[in-house]
Amino acid sequence: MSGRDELNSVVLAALTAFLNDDDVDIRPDTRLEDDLGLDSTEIIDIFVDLEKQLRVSLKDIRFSDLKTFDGLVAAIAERVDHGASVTA
Amino acid sequence: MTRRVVVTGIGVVLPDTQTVDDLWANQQNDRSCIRTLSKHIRGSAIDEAALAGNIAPRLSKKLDSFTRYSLIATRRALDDAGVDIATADKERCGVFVGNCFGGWKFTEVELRHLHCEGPRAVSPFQATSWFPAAPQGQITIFYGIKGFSKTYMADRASSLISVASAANLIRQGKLDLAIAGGTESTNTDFIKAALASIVAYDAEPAWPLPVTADTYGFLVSEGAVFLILEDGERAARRNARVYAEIGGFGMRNGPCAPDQYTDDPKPLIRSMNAALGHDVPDLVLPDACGLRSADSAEAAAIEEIGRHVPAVVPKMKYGHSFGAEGALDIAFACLMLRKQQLVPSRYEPSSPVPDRGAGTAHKNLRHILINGRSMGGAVSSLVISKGEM
Repeated sequence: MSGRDELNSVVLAALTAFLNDDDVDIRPDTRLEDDLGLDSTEIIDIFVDLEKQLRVSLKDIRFSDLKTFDGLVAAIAERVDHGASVTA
Repeated sequence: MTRRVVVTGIGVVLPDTQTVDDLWANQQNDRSCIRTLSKHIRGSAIDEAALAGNIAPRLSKKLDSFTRYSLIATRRALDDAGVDIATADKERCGVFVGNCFGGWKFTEVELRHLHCEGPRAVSPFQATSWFPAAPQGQITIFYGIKGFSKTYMADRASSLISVASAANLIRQGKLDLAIAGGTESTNTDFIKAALASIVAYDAEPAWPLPVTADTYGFLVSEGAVFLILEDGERAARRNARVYAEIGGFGMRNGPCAPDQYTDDPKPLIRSMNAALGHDVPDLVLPDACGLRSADSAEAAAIEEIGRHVPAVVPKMKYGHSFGAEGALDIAFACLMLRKQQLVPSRYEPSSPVPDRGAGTAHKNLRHILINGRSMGGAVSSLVISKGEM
């Protein structure tokens, strides 16, 4: 499994845990706001969970720049690749 | 013309009590919800596991307990009233909430996160979960309600005021329907510590009186009670069951120390007389806070308005639920008026507030007077009357 696949799984698990809905089907093109109904506060909660797991800071990612699940994973991958460290 | 305001629905979330039938049945048996909650506090608490499945987990994790209680009680009240908000004019519906403490169960956890892990670890939902108007906000969002709405913080009088305010707006023709009541979550370390200081300062309540289920004193409870209030004509048009009618309301002040209840009976006499007008009460549900000097003043005030008026304290099966307490007394009054029956009274009064209403059938129960008091000296009284269509 590549690093991107692994990251994909981690983000998917965090999102699924947050939504707590067995019926939701998340695909790469699933829209965060329109399909999942996520808002900016909810995404921060998911980010904080991911920051603990990935040991990376996701502070500067803007919700308005995130459209799809794939875009979310890409934005997080960029932070992971740049080794952004977690800061309290 | 002033409109009549009637109660057509009741929803409860209380310790060991999930329905209106439970509420009534619990008054008829000897079982008590009262237990030890901390070293200095006795009372009753809600088993949150019993509420599982009532709110979607995604929403539930954003809410403090007191908001969860309010959402569940609201849905139960609407179901009880047979009201579908989706078909109502949402501009003419309002939400009125009484609360005292806010959301400390959620906040306590997040304060630990703040001090142990740093600011980033604090839940982003902290800001919208803790504040006393959170239940009002969540109820209005959930049902899309757009009419005038408000939250009142006045200690144990909070939901007497919320219901009276809602009724006033319906009476004036500004609303047709209101979801009104109160909610409180007290079973948290912080709140119990704060309440223990009141117990210690006043040094008068149940300790070291015999610790039994039937003992008065500063007993603490939690939960939510919400009522559906409607314009009387609207309720009649849809052939709704009417529990009771909201009567007069009075509120006065007897300024005292901010952490004390007034021991002057005069403000309460004035608020009771303001609420009653020309009505004569058949029964009083006293505030009965469990602190001796305050309860002596209330007993003197009740004697002043009618020496032979019976008084019962059904809420002491649970203890004091502060923001929800007034609405709970209104629910008891509604049930007694609807059934024309008094709740049995089994409590052994160690406080001076009279509990002299023991008995069941009452042939002509028309007006029930309810009192609520706040630290700092505010006192409130509300009359609930027999509903007549």
